[in-house]
Amino acid sequence: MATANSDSVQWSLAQSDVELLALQATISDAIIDATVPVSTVRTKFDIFYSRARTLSTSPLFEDVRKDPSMGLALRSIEDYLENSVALVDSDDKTLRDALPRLK
Amino acid sequence: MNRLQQLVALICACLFIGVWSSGQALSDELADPESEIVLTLSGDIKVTNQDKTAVFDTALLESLGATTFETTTIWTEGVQTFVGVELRSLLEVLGVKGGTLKASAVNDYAVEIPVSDAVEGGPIIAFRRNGAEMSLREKGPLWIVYPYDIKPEYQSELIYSRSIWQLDRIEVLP
Repeated sequence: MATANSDSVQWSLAQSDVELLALQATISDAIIDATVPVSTVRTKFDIFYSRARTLSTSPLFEDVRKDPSMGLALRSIEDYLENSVALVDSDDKTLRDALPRLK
Repeated sequence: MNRLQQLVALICACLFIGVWSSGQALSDELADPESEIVLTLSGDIKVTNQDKTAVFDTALLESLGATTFETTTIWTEGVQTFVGVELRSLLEVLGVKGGTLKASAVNDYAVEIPVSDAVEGGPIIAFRRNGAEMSLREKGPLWIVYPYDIKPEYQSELIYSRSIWQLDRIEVLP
């Protein structure tokens, strides 16, 4: 299997930043504005989650994972996602109340 | 031709037109989805089921014919089994013969895929991976995958960029 070039690795890393920021922004919005549905938080969470899973498991990012600081960042992300999944998967009210803890 | 023969000819003509018309009507019809819509097609399509769009739930997509293949991908570990509808089959049902597909995802990633990519044995819109539906977290519910291991010419940056996951919209451009 041919490996993709480093441009696409860079692009994916940049994209994961974008998606994390989008998640954080959505959480903030939903905290301030009760009319923002928690489903949008769930969607942004899932998008970031799927990106993070790719970074953690795809052969494409093996070199990235070997880098010490990237490896550390990825593990922090994995921790955050693991700790947050239960909340995100709970009912709307529980999730909304817990939003400040997700930031 | 005598009167009777004329009548027979007329009836045959009517029947022929009737058959042709009902054939057209059948091909103009796309069932309505019964559960959550996972894909919306718009633009230059000949068959619709919701205003000017064609909307699908997973069952409706699967009713167009399911193709299965095994392949590794650059984004996953190990051999994956994908089940989906061939892009070719979907476009055939919608009367799309050429042009470009602008495929967009839930995360707003968008890519253009030429209709010429939609060949038999080519890309599928996958709705199952390793026997299960894919959640958004698992890059679902829909993922355009090419059989990378079966056709090495699909192992290219360009094809990888067309392998859009979390797909939810396709606009057909002429």
